[in-house]
Amino acid sequence: MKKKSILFLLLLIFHLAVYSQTIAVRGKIRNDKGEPLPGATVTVKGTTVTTVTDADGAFVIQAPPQGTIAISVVGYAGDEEKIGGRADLMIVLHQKASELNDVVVVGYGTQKRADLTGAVVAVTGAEMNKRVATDPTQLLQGKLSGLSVTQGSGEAGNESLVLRIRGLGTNSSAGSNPLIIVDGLPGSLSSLDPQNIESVTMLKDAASAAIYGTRAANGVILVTTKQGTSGKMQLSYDYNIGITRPSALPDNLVYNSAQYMVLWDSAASHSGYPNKFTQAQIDLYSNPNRDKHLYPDYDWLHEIMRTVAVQTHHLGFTGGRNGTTYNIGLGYVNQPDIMLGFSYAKYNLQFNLNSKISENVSFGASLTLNYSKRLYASRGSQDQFLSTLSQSPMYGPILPDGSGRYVNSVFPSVQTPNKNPVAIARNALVNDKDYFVQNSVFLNVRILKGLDWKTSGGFNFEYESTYDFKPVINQYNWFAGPNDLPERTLDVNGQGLTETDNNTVYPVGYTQLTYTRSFGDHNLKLLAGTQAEYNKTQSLVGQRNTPFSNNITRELNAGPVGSQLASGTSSEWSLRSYYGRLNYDYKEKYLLEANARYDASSRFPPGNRWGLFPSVSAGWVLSKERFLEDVSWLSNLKLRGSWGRLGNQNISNYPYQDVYTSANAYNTNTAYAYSFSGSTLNSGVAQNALSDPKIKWETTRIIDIGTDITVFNKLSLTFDWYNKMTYDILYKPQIPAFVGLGSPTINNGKMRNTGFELSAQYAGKAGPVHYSIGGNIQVNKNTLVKFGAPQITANNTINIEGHPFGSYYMYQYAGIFQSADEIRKAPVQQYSPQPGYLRFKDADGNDTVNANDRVIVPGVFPKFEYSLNTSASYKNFDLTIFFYGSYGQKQYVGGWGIQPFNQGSPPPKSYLNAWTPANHSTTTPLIYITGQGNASSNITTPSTFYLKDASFLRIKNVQFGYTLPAAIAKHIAMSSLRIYFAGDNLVTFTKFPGLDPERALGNGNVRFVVHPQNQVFSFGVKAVF
Amino acid sequence: MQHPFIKFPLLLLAAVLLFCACSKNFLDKNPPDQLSSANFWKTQADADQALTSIYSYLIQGYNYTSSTNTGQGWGSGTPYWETLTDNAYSGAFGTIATGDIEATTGTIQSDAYNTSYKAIQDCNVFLANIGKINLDATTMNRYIGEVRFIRGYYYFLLEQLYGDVVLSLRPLGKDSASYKLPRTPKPIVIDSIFSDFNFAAANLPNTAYTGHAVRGTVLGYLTKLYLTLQRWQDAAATAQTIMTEGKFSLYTGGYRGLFLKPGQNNNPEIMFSGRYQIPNAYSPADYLYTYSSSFQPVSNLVNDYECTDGLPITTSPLYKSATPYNNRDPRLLATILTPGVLYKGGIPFVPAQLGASAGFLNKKGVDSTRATVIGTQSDQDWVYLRYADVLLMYAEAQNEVGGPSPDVYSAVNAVRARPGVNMPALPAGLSQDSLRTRIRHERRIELALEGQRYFDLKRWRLDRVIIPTIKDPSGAFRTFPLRDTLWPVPQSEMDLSRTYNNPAYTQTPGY
Repeated sequence: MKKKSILFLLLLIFHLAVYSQTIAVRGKIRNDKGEPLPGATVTVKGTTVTTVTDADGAFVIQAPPQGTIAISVVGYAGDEEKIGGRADLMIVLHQKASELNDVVVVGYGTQKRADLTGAVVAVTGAEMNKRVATDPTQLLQGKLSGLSVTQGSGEAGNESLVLRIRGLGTNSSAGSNPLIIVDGLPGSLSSLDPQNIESVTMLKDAASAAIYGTRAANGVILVTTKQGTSGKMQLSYDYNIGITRPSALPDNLVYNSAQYMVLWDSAASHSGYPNKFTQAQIDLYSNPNRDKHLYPDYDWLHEIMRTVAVQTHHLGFTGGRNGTTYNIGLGYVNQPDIMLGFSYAKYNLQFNLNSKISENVSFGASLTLNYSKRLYASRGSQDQFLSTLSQSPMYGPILPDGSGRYVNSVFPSVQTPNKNPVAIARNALVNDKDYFVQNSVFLNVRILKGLDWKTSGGFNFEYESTYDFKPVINQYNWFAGPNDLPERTLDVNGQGLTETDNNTVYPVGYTQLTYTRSFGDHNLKLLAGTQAEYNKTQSLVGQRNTPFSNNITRELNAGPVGSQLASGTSSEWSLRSYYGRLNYDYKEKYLLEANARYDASSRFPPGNRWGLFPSVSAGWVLSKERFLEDVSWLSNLKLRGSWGRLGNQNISNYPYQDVYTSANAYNTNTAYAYSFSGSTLNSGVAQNALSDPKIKWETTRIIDIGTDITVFNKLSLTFDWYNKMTYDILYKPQIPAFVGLGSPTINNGKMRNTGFELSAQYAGKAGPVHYSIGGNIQVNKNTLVKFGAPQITANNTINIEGHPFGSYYMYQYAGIFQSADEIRKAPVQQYSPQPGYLRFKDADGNDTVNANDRVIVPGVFPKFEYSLNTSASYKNFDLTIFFYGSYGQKQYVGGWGIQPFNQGSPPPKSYLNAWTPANHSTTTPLIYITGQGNASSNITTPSTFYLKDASFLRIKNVQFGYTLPAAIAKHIAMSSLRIYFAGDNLVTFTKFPGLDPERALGNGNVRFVVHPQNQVFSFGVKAVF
Repeated sequence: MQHPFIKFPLLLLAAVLLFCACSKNFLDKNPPDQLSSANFWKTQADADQALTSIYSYLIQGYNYTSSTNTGQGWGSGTPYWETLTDNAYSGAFGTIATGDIEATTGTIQSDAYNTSYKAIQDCNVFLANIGKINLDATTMNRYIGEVRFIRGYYYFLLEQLYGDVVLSLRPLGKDSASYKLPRTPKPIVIDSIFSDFNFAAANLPNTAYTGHAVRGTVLGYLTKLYLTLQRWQDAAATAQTIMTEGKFSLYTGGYRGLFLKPGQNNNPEIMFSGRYQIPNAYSPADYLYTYSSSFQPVSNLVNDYECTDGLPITTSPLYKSATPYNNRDPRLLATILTPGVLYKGGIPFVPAQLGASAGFLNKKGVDSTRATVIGTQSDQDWVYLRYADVLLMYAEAQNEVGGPSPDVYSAVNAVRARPGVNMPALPAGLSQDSLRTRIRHERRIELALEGQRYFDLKRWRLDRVIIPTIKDPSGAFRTFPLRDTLWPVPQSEMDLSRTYNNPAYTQTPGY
C-alpha cells in the first residue's frame, strides 16, 4: 500500500511538471476516406499523457507546443505528428500493411497478432465492404489467403457459394464446409448484413482450429459483429444502387429463324429424325418482305435476361457512456434478379450491447434478426435458363394476335420446346420467406486478478415458409386462332398448392475460465471450458395437389379437398465438449501454444462417441534476437510451426443404426405405401440403407510451417506451407446394385492436401499520394491417398488413388472423321460413325474404342488462385482496384447452348460452319439433333471435346471515391460524407466460351447453362452525422 | 463491500445447470420418424408394414412426369416394354429398340436391374426376420408365400432380361462376401424361382384376387415360367388347374372396362396388378400417354387387327382404306387412339400436333374423358396378369402338347367371344402350325400394349425375326443382333466389380 502511494505521488509530480509547459492541442483524426476514427489513442511522445478520440474522431490533449503526438488505432498505421505550435490538428491515418499490434479474434478468445503461432488470417469489415453484396460471404473472395470462395451462380439470394479452406479436405459425407462462428457461437454468416461486420478471422491450421475439435476439420471462420463505441450517438447512413447485368451470356447462338430451320433439317437428316420443316415453312421466315411480327427472328435470351437496379440501404447507430455501449444496424436490400421474375429482398437488424456493470463484471449481447423473401421458379434458375434456350427463334413468348396468350410451339409436328419461361416468370413463382434469429449473451466475471470466468449462451432459430402455388396456365400455338384450343398447359412442376414450413432450433452454450499471468519475462495464459450444443429441425408440409378451380383463390382451403396431403418429420443431434488451451512465451520471443478438445457427438454409437483433438504450435521471433537487432530494415521476422488433429462428424443424424423408414426416394410421395384394396392406402416401411454400427469421426491432421516478415515497416510478407491429411473418411461408398440397399456411412479412405500460401502487402507514399499494393496466391494439390479400388462415377469422373478426388475420366477427342476411308482405318468406334462424327482415341491400343479407353484428365481443381489489390489516395480522392483469378481448372459443359438442338435449342453459330462433305471442318462436327440417333450418341459421348479451360483473371472490383472536405460536410450537418462509384466483375480474361467461367464444380452438373454471374456498376453514398 | 460476483451466482448457476440438466441422455438421439431394427419385427402390424413396402415396387416410379424418369416399364409405365417390339415406338428407348443397347445405355436397361434387386432385398430382409414375430403357422406361411412369390417374380424378370444374375436368398451387405458374388447360372436361378413359386402356390389362399397375390396369381406366373422353358405339358396342366379351380373368369363389363376404374375393383378376370389410389398413390397414365408422343403404337400393330368377319384387312371385304378403323375387331379402338378420336377430355386427336409421327397413341388404360396436364392424377390399376392370358397360355401349351383339340379351340374362342368383343370363332380344322400362329396372333391382339409382347417374342425366339422388319417413324429399320437376347448389366456394376475385386462377376457375353 505504501509503495503504491509513493508511485502515485511521483507520477502526479511528473504529470504536473509536464503540464506546466503545455498547451491544449485539439485535433481530429480521420481515415483516408475522411471517416472519423473514434477510439484512437493519442499520446504525447515521451510522456504518458494519453487520451482517446471521441465518436467524431476528435481529441483534446495537453502537449508541449513543439512536441510530437503519436496516434495509434487498430487497423491503421500509427502516425506521429509534430505539433509545431498549432492548436488545431487534422490528421489522416492510413490503413496499415502490418498489423502486429492488432488483436485478432481466435477461438474462445483473442490474441495479439505478434503472438500468433498458428496460421490465422483476418480481414476487417471495412476492407470487405469495399465491394457491395447481399451476402457477406461473397465479400471474402480473394481477401483471406487460403480461402477459396466460388460463387456458383449470380442468382439473387441463392448464390450457391462454395467455401473451401486449403482445398477439398475430404470426400466425406460430413462435407468440406468450414465451421462458421458468429460472436463466439456457431451461426450463419449469410444472414448478416455485411455492414455490421467488424472483422472476420479464419483459422487455417490445426493449431488454431483444434479448440473447435470435431467441427474444425475444414477450418473455422470467426465473425465478429460491430460493437458500440463510447461517446454521443453517431448516426451513419449508407446507400448503394447497383446497375446489374449478366457478366456473360452465350451471345453466339443462331437466332435467325431461317438459318435455324435449314440447320434443323440437315440435323434431322443426319440424326435419322423424321420431323422436318417444309420448304414452305422455311420460305415464310426467309422472305425479306415478311411480316416480322408474325415471322420473327426472336432472341429469347434477351427476353429472360435483363438489367436491373439493386438497392442497398444501411442505417447505423452507435454510442454509449458510463461503460455501456451499443451498436445498432438496420439494413435493407432489394435485389431484383437479372433473370426475369426472380428476386430477393433482405431486411436485417443487428443489435449489440456491451456493459461494464462493475470493475469486475461485464456483460453483453448480440442479436441478429434477418428476414428475407425470395421469389424463384420451382424448378430453379438453371431450368428457366435451359427452357429459354430450348425455344426456337421462330416465335416469341406471347401470341402475336394481341390476345396475351402464352405460346407453346410454332410447328408442333416438327418440334415441341420445353416450357415457356416467360409464362413461368409471370405466373408460377415460389415464394420463400425466411425468418432468422441469431443471438448470444455473455457474462464475464473477473474472479481474481488474471482469472476470468466467461459464460456465453445463445441460440439460432430459423423459420422458413415456402409457398408454391401452381396455377393452370394454357399454352397455345403461335398461329392459334381466337377459338383454338390450347396445345397444352404450362409445366408448373405439379399441380395445386404446396406449403412447407421448416424450423430449426439450435441452442449452444459454453462456460470457461481464463488465467493470465506473467512471471518476469515468462508470460502464461490458460484456458479451460465446456460447451454443449443441441439442434432440432422440424418440417411440416401441407398440400392439395390437384388443380384449383381457379388461379385467384390461392390458399389451401380453397383447393380440392380430395387431394389434401400432410407430411412432417423432425431430426436432432447434439454435441458435448471440453476444451483447453495453454499459451506460453518468453519475452514474446519464444512462443508456445497447445490446445485440446474432447468432444462427443450423438451421431456416433455410444462406444465411439468421444474423441480427443490435440494440437501444438511454436513460434520464434528472430527479429527480437540480439544478432538481428541491428538489422534496421528488418522490422519483424517470425518463424512458426504447428501440428494438430481435427475432427469431422457432420454426417446424417442416425448413421449407425439400421432403421426402417417409410421414405423411399424412388416413390417420393407414396414412399413405401401401397393400396391393396384400391381404396385404402396401407403404410409401408422398409430398411432402405445399410449402416455401420462401429463408425466414428474422421480425422484431419495438419502440419503447417510459416513465416511472417516485415521489412522497412512497409512491406509485409506471410508465407505458409501445409500438409493436411484426412483419414478415416466418413464416406458412403458405392456398392453393387445387386445388394439392393443404399450404402452405409463408413470410415474409409485418406486424402491429402498440400500447398502453400503467400501474401504480401506494401504501403507507401509518393508525395501527396498514398498507395498500397498487395496480393496473395494460394496453391493447393489434392490427392486421394487411400481409397480402395478405383470408382468411376456417372458424372465422367473417377476416384482413384494418386490423383485428385473426382478427376475427370472420359474419352479423348481425337478430331473429326473426314472420310469413310479414315473411319475404316481407324480403331473401331462405337455407334457406327460416319464422316463428320467425332473420333476418339484408342488409349489402350487394342484397335477398339470402348469404356476401357476412358482416361484421367487433369483439371478438376485449379492449380492456383490469386488476387491482387491496389489502392491509392490523393487528397480527398481514392481509388482501389481488386483483381481475382484462378488458373488451371477445367469445366465439363454440355447440353443447351453447346450441343445443337437439345430440346430444340439454337445451335452455337460455329455450326453454321459445321462439317459437311463439302466443308471439311476440323473443329465442328456435322450438325445433329441432340438425343436423336447415332450422330448424337457419338458426338455427345462424354469426351475432352466438352472439357473447357476455365482459367480466368478478372477485375473483380474497382472503386473510385471522393470524400467531401470536413469543413464543407459540416455545413450540411454531417461529420463526413463520401460518394463513390464502383464496378464489380468489370472485365474477365478467359478462354471459356459464352458464360462465366466461375461456377460450382461438376458434381453431376455437366450442363453449360447456370444462372449467369452479375456485372455491377454501382453508385454509393456513405454519410456520417 | 459485497463482491459483484455475488449478485449473479443464481443467474450463472441457472445457466450452467440448464446446460447439464439433460446431460444424461443428451447424446442419445434416435430418429423420431423411423423405427430402429431393435424395435421392429415384434407384431403382425410390423409384418404388414414390411409386406406393404414389398408390394410398393409394383408401382415404382408411379408419379414421374417425364418420359425419361426412373421406373419406366413398371406400373403404368409397363406399356413401354412394347416399344421394344413391333407394337410400339418410343424415342426414349430408341437405342435398345434399334439394337444398339450397351452397358452404358441406362434407362430401362439399368432400371430393370436396380429396381428388381431393391425389391428382392426387401423380400430377403422380410424373410430373414419374419420368424421373430409370433404367428400361427398358416398366417406365417401366407406372409412367407406372398413374399417368396414377389421375390420369384423379380428374379423371373431378371433372368429373362440378363440371363445369369446374382442370386441371393438372404439379405446382403453386412459381410464382405456380399460384394463378391458371381452371376449365378440361369438354370439355378430358375430352380430358385420354382421353389419360391411352388411354396407360394401351396400356401396362399385359393380365392379371387384381393390386391394380395393369391394361389391363382402364382399358378399363372408358374404357367408363364413353364412356357418360357417350353415345358408344354407342365404349362398346360398348371393353366388347367387355374381353370378347374374356377376362381377367375372373363370380365363381362366390356374389354375397355378391364383397364379403368371402377371396373377394376373386384374384377373376376384380374389376377395380379399394380394398384393405384388418388391422391397419394396416383399414376401418371393419362398424362403420360396423351401429353407428348413419347409412346406411340405403330401401324404394324394397328394393321394386325382383324375385321369383324375374322379376316385380316388384306383379305376382308369389310376393310375400306378410306375408313380403315371401321368394321374392325372392337379391341382396336379400345386399345389404340386413332386420329380424330376425342381424348384429353374432349379434344380431337391430331397426331401432327404432338409430333406423333407414327400416327397413334395408347388408349388402353387411358381415361379419355380426363383433361390432362402435367401432374394429372390417374388411378387406373396396371394389370399384370389376367384370366384371358391364362386361357391363351393354356391354348398355346395344349396345342404344342397334343395339337388342335376342342379344348384349345374353346380357350381361344372364349377370349375372342368375350362380351363386347364378339369376334367370330377360329375356323375349324386348322393344322397345329396354323393354330399356333392364330394363338400367337390372338395374344398380340388381346394383350396388346400390356407389356407382354417383348417377353412373348423372346420365348418364341421371334424377336430376331420380327424386329428387323420394323421401320421406325424415322424411316430407319430396326436391327436385332443376337447378343440382344440377353442384355448387358449396367456398366456401373462392372466398374464396381473391379472396385470390390470381384472378377467372378462378368459382363453378359457379347458386350
